[in-house]
Parts: sequence; C-alpha cells; structure tokens
Amino acid sequence: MKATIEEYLDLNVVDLKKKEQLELVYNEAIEAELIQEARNGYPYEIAGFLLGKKSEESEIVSEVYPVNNVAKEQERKFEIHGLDYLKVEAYALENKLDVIGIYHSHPDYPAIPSRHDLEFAQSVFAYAIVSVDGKGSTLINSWKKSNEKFIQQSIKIK
Amino acid sequence: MIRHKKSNTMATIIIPTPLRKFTDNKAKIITSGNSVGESITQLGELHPDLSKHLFKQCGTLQSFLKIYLGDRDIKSLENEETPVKDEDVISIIPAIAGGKTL
Repeated sequence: MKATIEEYLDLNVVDLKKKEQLELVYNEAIEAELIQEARNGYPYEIAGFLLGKKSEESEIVSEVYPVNNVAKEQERKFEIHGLDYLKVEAYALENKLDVIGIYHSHPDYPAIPSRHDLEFAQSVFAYAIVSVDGKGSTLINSWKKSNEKFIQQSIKIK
Repeated sequence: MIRHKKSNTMATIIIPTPLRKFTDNKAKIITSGNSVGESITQLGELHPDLSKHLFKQCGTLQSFLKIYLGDRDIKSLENEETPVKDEDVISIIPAIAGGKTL
C-alpha cells in the first residue's frame, strides 16, 4: 500500500467536488456479509450484486447476491460472467427487486475506483468497493458514475 | 395451391437494468423477428433512443454487449443469424468488470 489515500486518487477518474444525491442504505447484516466476503476472497477480488428497492431519496439494499469472479487476473481484476448477470436480472424480476448496484473488493488497495472500474461503469448502478488488507481491515465506499467520472455516494447503515 | 404465410415468431427480449431508461422502464419487450438479429433490430425500431446504445454507427452490435438466447451466448450459436422460436427468451447483457488493476 502507498503511504496516503491521495496517492491512489486519479482525478480523471474521481470527481471529489460533487456528491451523489441518493444515499445507499443497508443494515449491519449486509455490511457484515460484504466484509466477510472480501476477507474470505483475499488476496483475490470478489464481486456480486446489491439488490433492493430504489426510491427518490435512497437506494435500499435488502439482499446481497454474490457471483463468481471470472477474470483472469483475480488479484487485480473482476469480471462477471454473462450467465450470472442474466440470472441476477431474472432473480430480481421474479422477486420484484431492483438491481441497485455491484460490489467488489480491492485487496490491499483503498475503496476508491480505478480507471478500469470507470471503463466498465454503468451510471445507473451504485459501485460499492470493499477495501481489504491482509490483516482483515476493511472499509466500504460507494460510488456512482456521473459525467464520465465517479462521484462518492453516502452510505447509511440502519 | 395453398400458400401458407410464414407466421412471425414471438420472442421476449429481457432488457438489462442499465438500458431500461430507454424502454420506459420496461424489463421485457415482445418482438416478432425470425432471428436474433431481426428481433434486436426490431427492438431498436420500437425504442429509437435505445438503438444507439445497442448498435455502433456501422450497424454492428456494441462490443460491450452480449446477447444470449436462453442460456447460450449467440456467439456459440449462429450469432445474429441464430433462428428464434416462439417463446424464446433473448437477453441483452452488458459487460460487468473492473478492479484495482495496478
């Protein structure tokens, strides 16, 4: 890890001046699940979907839907198989849930998005990134793509 | 001689969450193309705003999208020429990837 978070920040990727209006809301059990997955997957990246309900004020996550990471270099990349994407959309439709976003871990890297994250980001999704290190320390930040950059989204635990 | 007019097939296209803003938030659209390509083209005609997100200017499908017929990627079938039967389900799937990538 580098000495400070700022050393990882790429201002072509992240716009720190703006903030996402919608809050991402989830309970402690969801938070614990995200953390546990990131720890279990370390030193490889893990990924999955956040399902729940969107309203005009917030995006409330009620379920975590883990999927396999099928990237070739899983210590620094994640990729979700088309069939898994198809399954999660079908599951959400069947259960009247919204696909709110995607979570993935950054082993030994802060919870800030990379250029590679931006390349594939969809503006409709929340991107929750779980930073995890070898000692099990974690931090979760959420981001949304807006005007070709990521802006931070507040997380509320309730 | 009695000629039977070939009836069009009715397939369902599942629209992924990121593209639903171009389909009035509809998740499923019924089309009547005889192939996957015809069905997707018809979808673009029904929802013109969606069209540019589906196709490049040259008319080929955007490279970050995959199309599945049932649970098969059409690349492993006959691509856009893949025939569609009644009640088939076609899914449009965006590439989902990322990572710290140092």
